[in-house]
Amino acid sequence: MDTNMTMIQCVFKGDRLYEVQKAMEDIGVVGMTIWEVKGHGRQKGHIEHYRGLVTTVNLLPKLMLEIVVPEKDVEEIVTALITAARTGDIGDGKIFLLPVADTIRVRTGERGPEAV
Amino acid sequence: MNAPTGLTELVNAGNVFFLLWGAVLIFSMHAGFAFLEAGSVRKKNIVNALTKIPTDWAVSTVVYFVVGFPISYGITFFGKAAGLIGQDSGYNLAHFFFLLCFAAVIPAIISGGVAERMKFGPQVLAGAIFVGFAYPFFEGLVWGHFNVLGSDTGWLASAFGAGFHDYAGSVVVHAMGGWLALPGILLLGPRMGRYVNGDSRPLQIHSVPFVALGSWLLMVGWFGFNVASAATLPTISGLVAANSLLAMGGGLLSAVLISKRDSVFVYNGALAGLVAVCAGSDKMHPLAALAVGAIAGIIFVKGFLWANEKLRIDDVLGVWPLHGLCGAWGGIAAGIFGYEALGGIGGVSFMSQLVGTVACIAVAVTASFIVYGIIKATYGIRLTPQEEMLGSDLAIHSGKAYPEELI
Repeated sequence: MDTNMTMIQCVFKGDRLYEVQKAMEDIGVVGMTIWEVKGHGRQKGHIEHYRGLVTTVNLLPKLMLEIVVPEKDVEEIVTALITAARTGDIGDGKIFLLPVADTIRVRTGERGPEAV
Repeated sequence: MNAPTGLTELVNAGNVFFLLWGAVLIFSMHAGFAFLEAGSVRKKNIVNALTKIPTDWAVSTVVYFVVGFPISYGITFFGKAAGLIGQDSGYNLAHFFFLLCFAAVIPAIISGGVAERMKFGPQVLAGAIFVGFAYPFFEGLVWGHFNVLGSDTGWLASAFGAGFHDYAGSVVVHAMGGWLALPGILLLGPRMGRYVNGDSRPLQIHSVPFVALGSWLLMVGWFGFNVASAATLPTISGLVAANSLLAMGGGLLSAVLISKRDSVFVYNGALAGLVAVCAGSDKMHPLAALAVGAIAGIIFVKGFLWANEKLRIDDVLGVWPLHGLCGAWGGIAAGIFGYEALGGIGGVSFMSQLVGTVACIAVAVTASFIVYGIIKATYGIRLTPQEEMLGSDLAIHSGKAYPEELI
């Protein structure tokens, strides 16, 4: 039995939260963590001005989804995430895949894929 | 100074002071519109709401001074300053200020319906055209110098025994604003992500405290709206104040009862009662006003859900149900509860109220489809999808509501 697990981190635009959550729900991902994050990629930020004073804002607010899933499901989930988070404009975000050593359910002490 | 002259001056000064008292109270309602909208939008559109309302106010001031007020009342202010004060302490100028506060409500109402997705210039331009022409045209028919709907000797009065009665603007101001907004909202279309694949997806408002503050400012200022509609000090009426209070209470309580104590509905319910009581506030018994307000609260709560969920009209603040539907109800209600048989003062005609209200809706919808239709076909009325996603604060004003939070 394949017991390898992968953490999927997906940075995306806040406006796509509904689509992203819906896509994960449809695919059967039961739990998730959403972070409010700020950052930038190649796009950089933009100029804001207040009472004539100009500020360059380099870090833009985004959301980051974090889920841990069996390795065999990764491609299906990544495809769904791309569809859900994409607007086609710059700043649509990034997906990172990380290996997970183990998972432990705090309440019962269970380990491995069953604990996710 | 002899006594009769002194008395005349005191009466003139009292009239001017009375109107300015009302005008300043209504002026404060514009802060209410600003905060009601600022609280009812998402964080990325706060600055836009807070900038649109004063800009519309300033544009309305100029346009109503130059063309609007002259159209409605046939009075212009282009002579020498000394002549403008006249022998009555400048009553006409005070009257202009007072009625400007009414006229400027029009773009403030529309602003809440088209929020979060409309371009800035077209919003201001359309508001200017409505305040300069469409509103004064209908205002002139009811309150002004066109002898048609409102006057005791006009066409409606000769047809049905009494003219169209709208004491403080349920129809002239609120229904006009709400029905001017509706075509604009329809031509704009819903905000991105509001209705997706047939699902209704509520876009959360960002601040209930701002909504509460805005509503409180509107509630308090409303007493200038209704009471000062007497226009002169000797005609002031405590009945108008009591009716406004009871209608506000009725609208608030019916909203409490049918909305499961939903705070935003409760605040809007109070406003619904006030919108509906304007027209007949000098004609009805306070208990009738309570009923009119209570029905208005129900119309708003049910009407908002019907418009936004069933009809899929993305009216952000619910300005069409609040001002359009409750305003029309107020116009008709004055023709029901104004009759002596129902405890009212009389001198109203149900048919006149119905005709006047329908005429207002026809004028508003026509003017709005023409103005927004032309702007949409030429310059465009809606932000690009990228601008809308970024938010109108950054796209239009290059700044957000809480700059210190930026890193």
